[in-house]
Amino acid sequence: MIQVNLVGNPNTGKTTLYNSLTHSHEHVGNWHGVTVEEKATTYRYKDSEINIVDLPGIYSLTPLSFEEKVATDYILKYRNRIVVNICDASNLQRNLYLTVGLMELGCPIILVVNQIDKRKICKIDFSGLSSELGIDIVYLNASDKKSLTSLNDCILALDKKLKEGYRPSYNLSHIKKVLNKYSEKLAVFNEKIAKKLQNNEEFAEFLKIKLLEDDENIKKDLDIKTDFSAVEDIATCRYDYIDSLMEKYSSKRTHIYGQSKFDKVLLNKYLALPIFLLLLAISFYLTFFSIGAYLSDGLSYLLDKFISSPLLNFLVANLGEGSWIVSLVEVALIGGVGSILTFLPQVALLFFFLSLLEDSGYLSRVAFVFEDVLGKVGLSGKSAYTLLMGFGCSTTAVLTARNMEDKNSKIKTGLLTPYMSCSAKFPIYAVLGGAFFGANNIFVIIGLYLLGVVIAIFLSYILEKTLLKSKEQSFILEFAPYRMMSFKRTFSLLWQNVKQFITRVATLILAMNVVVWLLSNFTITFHFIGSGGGVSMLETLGRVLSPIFIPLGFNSWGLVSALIAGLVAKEVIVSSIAMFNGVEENSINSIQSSIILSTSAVHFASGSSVISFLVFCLLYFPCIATTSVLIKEIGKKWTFIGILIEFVIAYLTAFVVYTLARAFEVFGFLKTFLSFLMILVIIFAIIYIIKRIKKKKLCAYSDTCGKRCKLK
Amino acid sequence: MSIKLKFDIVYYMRLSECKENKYYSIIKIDSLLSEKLRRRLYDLGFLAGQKVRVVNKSLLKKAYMIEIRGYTLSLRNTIVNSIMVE
Repeated sequence: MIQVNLVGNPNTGKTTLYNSLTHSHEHVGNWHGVTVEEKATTYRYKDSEINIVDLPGIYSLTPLSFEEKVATDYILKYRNRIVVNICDASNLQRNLYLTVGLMELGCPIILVVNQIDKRKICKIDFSGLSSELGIDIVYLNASDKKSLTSLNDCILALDKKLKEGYRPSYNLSHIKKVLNKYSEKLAVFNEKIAKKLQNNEEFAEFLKIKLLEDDENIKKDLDIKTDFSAVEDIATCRYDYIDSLMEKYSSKRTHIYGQSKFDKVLLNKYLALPIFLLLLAISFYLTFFSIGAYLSDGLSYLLDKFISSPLLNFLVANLGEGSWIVSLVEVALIGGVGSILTFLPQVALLFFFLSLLEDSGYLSRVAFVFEDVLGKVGLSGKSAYTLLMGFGCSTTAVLTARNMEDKNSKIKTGLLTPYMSCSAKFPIYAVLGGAFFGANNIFVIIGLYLLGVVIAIFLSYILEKTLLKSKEQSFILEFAPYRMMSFKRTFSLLWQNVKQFITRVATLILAMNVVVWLLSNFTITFHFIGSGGGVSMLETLGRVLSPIFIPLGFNSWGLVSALIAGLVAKEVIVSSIAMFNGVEENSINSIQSSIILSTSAVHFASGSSVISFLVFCLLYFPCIATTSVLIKEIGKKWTFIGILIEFVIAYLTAFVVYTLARAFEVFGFLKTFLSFLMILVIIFAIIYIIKRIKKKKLCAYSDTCGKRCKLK
Repeated sequence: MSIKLKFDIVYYMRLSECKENKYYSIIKIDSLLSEKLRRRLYDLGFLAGQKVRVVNKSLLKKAYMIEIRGYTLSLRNTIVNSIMVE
């Protein structure tokens, strides 16, 4: 088997190439740090097996963030493997910096020049460059599967040469100058390096370069302390070398990477933020209200007409009305799973818009715009990506927090992601909000999304001031060029999401629904309740816990049980409600009417208690999958603290929202507003008075000096 | 015994004070910036003599859009402030 590492700068198309080579569907995006861990697959080409490893993007062999360390460690560990170094043709100059670093390491390299953009920025003489560097160069387009044969042939040829005993040796005269300059200082460590390596001359040279670069990891590894650093010298000589190459083999570039005339408007100081919010609002509107809603209704109709009704009729005809199988199918399968399945178009659309944002290159502009706000609360523009992905699915979003450089910022970003209203929470808003507010539900939903974001920013600010102060704040992010999304990519993306959603519904949510059905249809002594009387297990539990939620305005046992079931996956909240209320059709409208009409398991006293319930659902707990990822990413301690904070915030916010909304309902808008204003004034007055009293305390020397000076 | 003094006696202009859309040439990066970040800046091509340009600033001037070596990147104000230019 041939082992190949895929290495390159961030956003040069490593994962695209990986997907094309291995026919996989790893997540790609026009953004830096989409891939956060190594991924490997084996594929066959001309009777040889090639195992290719996709690594996170790096700028050099000295890591700064977490995912860069994964990549560099991997490259150094397996330095004898073939390295496929992928470069973006439009930014070759900067990309070659890593290539030079890899040459110093002495690994066998194949240079892939990826022509992502159709427009050519400059002409490059590849054959000349190839012979000067001593590296095979393959020029291709990573998303075009036809152009891959030359790369595969190249890998096979190089592997054959390596097996025959060929070892790559590159012209490193540029760096030799620096090494000679510092040779006296480095000589002290010769012994230690030799002992560690046992006569591996080439690698010793690489370690010396790393020592000059002051790489902490290498120094720790070798147990060496240095008092000199030649970082600048080394970077200069590498770039000088690249400049000389570019002068020889490339024409002058006509266009600057990552700049566009659109930026004049999109990044305008005052327009940038409104434009972003407008785009977000439009895509949310299309997803949840116009296209998404129509598709959803259509799907619901089709499901009912062609699957659920015939199935139910068939079962009733064969087994009779009262059988538990009929109940299971009717309640758990059709009522529960069906009610979630109808949201498929909306979820798919949401993911489509999120990836459009990601692929177009607009996301790096968003990070730039949000740096103002996020920088203040101890995050960086890079968190904007994680938080935006949180609107899709918090589980996968938390993983992307690895591209943060600072540990505390990473923990904070991870903790804040669950506050973004994920796609699983949307059905709750649509069903419950739709039942009570009708067309006005759009404002409720926008309010909920905003509430999540505002609370996240506020919490981040508090954490920054108290527990999680970010130490090394840095924000270095390349601007990605604008790109159109190809039809093929759009289609495969939608298909991926549809597949994922259906699998999720068919496995996790179905299983959860069956569990909920079991618990809600059998008494503690395992008797099937059916249409007769009896108190189910879930009802007992729900009734015990429901008093906790009286201050929040909802305490019917069904809602409390739904919240408990929703700990596993938020979708289950809606499907449980559908099950408890015994909805016959699986359409959204029938669930909605059942909530208002029914006096049974799930019912709300008023609109204010619905809002309170929605707020609580938005904030109360990350789902099980997210929790497990959080534990892996930020540790048990912080996950636990995060969940605790989340529960407290959810309870308090829901309480405040309920109280306010209830007051509006009872007393009318004006009175409530005035009394609210009065309460605020009183609170500020109290704070002011306390501060004044504190200020007038005398200082410790007042008896000796006799003056009354103020203490700060 | 020698004592290392860590400040520059000559005052250089910082990139954050530069006019937008005008090319400047880098002199050096402030040694007060942490070692790690300085190394990353060198890796990205912020070396003495390199031409650099501020393309855009965010509303509160927290983030800067910088063009160097034919590509564009955004940097935080603290980093931009430690790049000395003329």
